[in-house]
Amino acid sequence: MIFRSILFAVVALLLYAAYVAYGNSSPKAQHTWQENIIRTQEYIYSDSLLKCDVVLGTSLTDKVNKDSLPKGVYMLTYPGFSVWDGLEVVKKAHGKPKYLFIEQNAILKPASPNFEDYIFNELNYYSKKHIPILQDAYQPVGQIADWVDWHSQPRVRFFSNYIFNPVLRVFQGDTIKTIDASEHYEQMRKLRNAVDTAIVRETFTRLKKEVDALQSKGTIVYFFGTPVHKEVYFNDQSKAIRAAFKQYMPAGQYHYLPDVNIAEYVTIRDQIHLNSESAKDYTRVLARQIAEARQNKY
Amino acid sequence: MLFTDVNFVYFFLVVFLLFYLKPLKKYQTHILIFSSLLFYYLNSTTFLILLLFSATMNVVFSWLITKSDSFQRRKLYVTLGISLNVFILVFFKYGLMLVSTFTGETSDVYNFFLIMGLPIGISFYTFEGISLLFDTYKARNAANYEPPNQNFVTHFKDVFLFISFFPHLIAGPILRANHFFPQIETKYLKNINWQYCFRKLILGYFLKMVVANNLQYFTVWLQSPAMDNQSSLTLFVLILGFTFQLFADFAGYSYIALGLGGLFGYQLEENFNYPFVSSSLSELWSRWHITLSSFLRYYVFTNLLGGGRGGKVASLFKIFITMVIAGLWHGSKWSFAIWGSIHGSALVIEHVVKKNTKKWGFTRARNILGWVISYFFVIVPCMALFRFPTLQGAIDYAILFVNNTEFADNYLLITYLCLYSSPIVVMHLLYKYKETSPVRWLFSKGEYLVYGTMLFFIVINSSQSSPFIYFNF
Repeated sequence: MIFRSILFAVVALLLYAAYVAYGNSSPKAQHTWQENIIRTQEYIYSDSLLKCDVVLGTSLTDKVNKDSLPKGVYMLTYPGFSVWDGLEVVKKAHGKPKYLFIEQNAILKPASPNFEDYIFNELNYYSKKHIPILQDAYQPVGQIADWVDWHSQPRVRFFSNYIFNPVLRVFQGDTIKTIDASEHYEQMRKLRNAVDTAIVRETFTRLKKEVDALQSKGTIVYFFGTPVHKEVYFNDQSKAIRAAFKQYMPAGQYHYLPDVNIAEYVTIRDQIHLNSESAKDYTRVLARQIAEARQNKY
Repeated sequence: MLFTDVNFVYFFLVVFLLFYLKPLKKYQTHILIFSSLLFYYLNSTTFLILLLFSATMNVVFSWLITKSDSFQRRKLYVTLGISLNVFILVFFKYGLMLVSTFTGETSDVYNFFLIMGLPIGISFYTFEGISLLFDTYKARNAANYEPPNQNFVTHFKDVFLFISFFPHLIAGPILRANHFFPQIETKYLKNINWQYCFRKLILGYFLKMVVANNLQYFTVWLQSPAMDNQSSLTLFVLILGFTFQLFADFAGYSYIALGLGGLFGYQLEENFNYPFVSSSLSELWSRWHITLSSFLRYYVFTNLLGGGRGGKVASLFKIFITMVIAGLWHGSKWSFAIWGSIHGSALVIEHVVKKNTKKWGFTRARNILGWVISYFFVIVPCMALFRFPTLQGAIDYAILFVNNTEFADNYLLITYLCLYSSPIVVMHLLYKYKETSPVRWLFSKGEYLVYGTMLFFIVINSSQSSPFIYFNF
């Protein structure tokens, strides 16, 4: 039974590999975390992408339209993760970007636990490098999800509209109770306002060391800030971050893309992510600044 | 270091090789104890000291109970030993909750408990200590008691292995001394039941790495404010998905533990028996986390509270109390006590209703109704108390669930939740219809298709390793 099970699994893997190679499969991310993984695997397993200039950022920069950036620029921007995750990827993958653009806003956010290990532990790294169907982009569930979704939607819609929701409405009563999310946003505001000087010191000492090491190998590092709501831009944490950049990596010795006018941009309710219109505007600005930085204008 | 980490594979291989190495045969127990302590240290660092203290204390008290000829002294030792186990559990697990309740969250004592954190696996190894002391006491008082022929050192090693054996150390199954001790003997490679181990390991890793680890990225929507704009149906499927995630996570761990135990020649007790086919809550509790249920039934309900003594009302009240304790065992938050109270009340109602409707007939219809009520009105809604860190979070979920009927359904999210939950539905259906000829054929002739498919998905569709949910309990 054991031998036959293993044999069956091997045959299934070979058949699936043939489907991925010759069928109509395409890379597919099932959720945000996996999107980050796929983006990283695409980068570390491609000799040509390893030579690209790289933008490191969080979900703030991820709002930028990747296709509108100049050619030869690859974005390691991770929603939910940190700039430090991207930095580790560039280092461990032996990436050779001539220009590296690092988002400043959320620099205090630490690297995500387990992310680096998942990408670079020997078993995962080499198996996924040499057997591409093992990469997260080709997981079978991701491949069939759209098809299942498309075919099940009418049934789900019918169930929801004609059975589930009418039953629930019986319990709703006259006044609909609502959730007060203001407390959550207040907590977020407090969190973003908090400044731990020890963490700031530790983070920037490490950042300076990492940047110096990269620059000594020929990479030119630029810092940039994405526009946020003025309340966030002027809170204690943001001010402390900007001050620390000035103190540890002064403008004369390190490179910065020009600041943007935050008043020209609109964020969504969380005050840190740009809305779709502003994201388009910022994409144009960032693309121009990157192009100019590559011509050493800054 | 989790069972799903690559490092664990290396760790296991080294221990396995040393364990069966011929020149080291007589040190098998030592090898397992040392590797188990190392495993615990890698997961919990300084709390290893607590584990060592707890195990040593149980060694001493169980030895004293065994060797004492006076009934009064034995009673004193068992009372002291169990009290110390309970004290350790209460201090380390419930200290923070009690302090925050009585002194608020600003005191120094509160900060002390907050910084200290929760020792991993404490609920499991203290319960095993209690089981050891009580069973030893019972056996020592029995009329046909025969003193064991072992010295203190052997007793010390046996108890240490019983408590620290790494496959079950962190999240069970909760072992019973009288089941484990007879198995302590020299083990041989040729005696390993490879098929048993293969089945348990494949099923366990499939449930954990493919089902639970993937579901976690979708059930993450069950938090404020992300869930505020989800439709009622989406919220319902999300909590259903979380129920399946919890099952896959814990059952997965238990099956891996059974498989690993089997590779060292130890058969641990089953912890799950297809709980979702249960047609009532009482049946559910004989199928879900079986070792905890049987611990609570035997030690708490029967021996501590007196079981069926004192009349029907008293007996029902004891069921309720046992379930509140079961709730609190799961976590040091009052929401878990509420979870236990709801389950306790529902069990009491179920007992009364069952008793009064026994003669009505319609067994099949009643079973179906029992299944629907148990799952959709008790188990699944109560999962909100498990999912959210605060009671307010669970209440917010309930409000959104009832009110968000006008929001658009998130079809893709529903699809993913259903796809990753489907293996659990399928495995329960196969069990339910195991007597039908297609299923019988599948498990007699085509078993390799089932395990081969699971192996295929483990290789190609696993998600990132994450801590087991029950590590927090």
